Amino acid sequence: MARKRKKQKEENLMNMTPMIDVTFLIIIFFLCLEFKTLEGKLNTNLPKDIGVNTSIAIPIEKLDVYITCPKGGWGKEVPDKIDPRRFEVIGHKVHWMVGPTRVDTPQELERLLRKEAERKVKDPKTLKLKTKPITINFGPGVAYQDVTTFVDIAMDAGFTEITFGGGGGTRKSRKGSSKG
Amino acid sequence: MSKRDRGDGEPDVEIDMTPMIDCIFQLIIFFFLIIDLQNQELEPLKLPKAIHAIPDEPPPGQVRPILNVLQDGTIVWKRKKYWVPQYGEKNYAELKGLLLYWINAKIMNKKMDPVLKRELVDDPLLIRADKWTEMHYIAKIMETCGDKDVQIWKVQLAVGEPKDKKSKKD
Repeated sequence: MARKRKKQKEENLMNMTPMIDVTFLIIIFFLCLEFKTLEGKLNTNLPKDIGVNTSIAIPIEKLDVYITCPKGGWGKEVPDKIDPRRFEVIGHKVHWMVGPTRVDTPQELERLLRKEAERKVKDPKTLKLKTKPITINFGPGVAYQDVTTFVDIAMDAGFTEITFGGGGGTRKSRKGSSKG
Repeated sequence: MSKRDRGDGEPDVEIDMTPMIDCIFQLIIFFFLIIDLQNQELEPLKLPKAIHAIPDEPPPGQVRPILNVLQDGTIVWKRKKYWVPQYGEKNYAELKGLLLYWINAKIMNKKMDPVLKRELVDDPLLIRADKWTEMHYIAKIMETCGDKDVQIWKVQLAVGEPKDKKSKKD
């Protein structure tokens, strides 16, 4: 009788191993989800016709944009909490010169670009009306993020052809100060 | 392992396979993560977010070298540095050498351009830069790509896709 009761007790014990294992699996799965960032891309084409060419270049009306970071506009560099090798910037400022007009806020920039996008130009190859191509130029202290933000706003406004012009050096190369 | 008496004196042996299967799954996940972390082409960078970014899914078989640009402008390919700020602004010879190596070793393939009637590199180059990298350094890479000896014209800029991309678009 006593042996029977003991056997019944043993059978009633729950095996916790699979449950713990599954819990660990779920924890790992959610950890991976949190840290895995999605990567995307922006396609750009550089000019192909470099050097001596026989092809005739047709002049196209384009919109020149100059992104500048004012002196002292780079902001404060703060060490990254997760990766100490990199830093984050607080209080970074840029402004945009769309043709001759200076713009200070993204909202103003979007409004101006939408207006510019309405002014279509004739494509010399297809003779159809299209939005002007944009050339982005940038000065010292302009970060990669500033340019991708501009590209986003320009694409929202309806521009499709965006090319890159030259840069005006780095913050360190800026005359008269070592930090922008 | 549990033993049960079959009645004839010999115990019946049963093996519980569950913990073993669980352990195997754990190991598979562990090695998956290790392989992913060992991906030498990708430096730990914080990419800027862009709503208009297209998902980075290169077609299988397409060759695409990846250049990483750190916050100070250091250019890295497979953990090796090809430009550091100490080299100075005018010395991008090592980077040019790397681009030429990709072309000469057929890592990046050329194709005949019907308009220009000459062979141009047809494979793209992906530039991964930190969001706080000065744009000047990326422009320097583009300038080197545009060198008359190199002429890589397909350039892709790596960006992060915002999590709420769909909702922003809608």
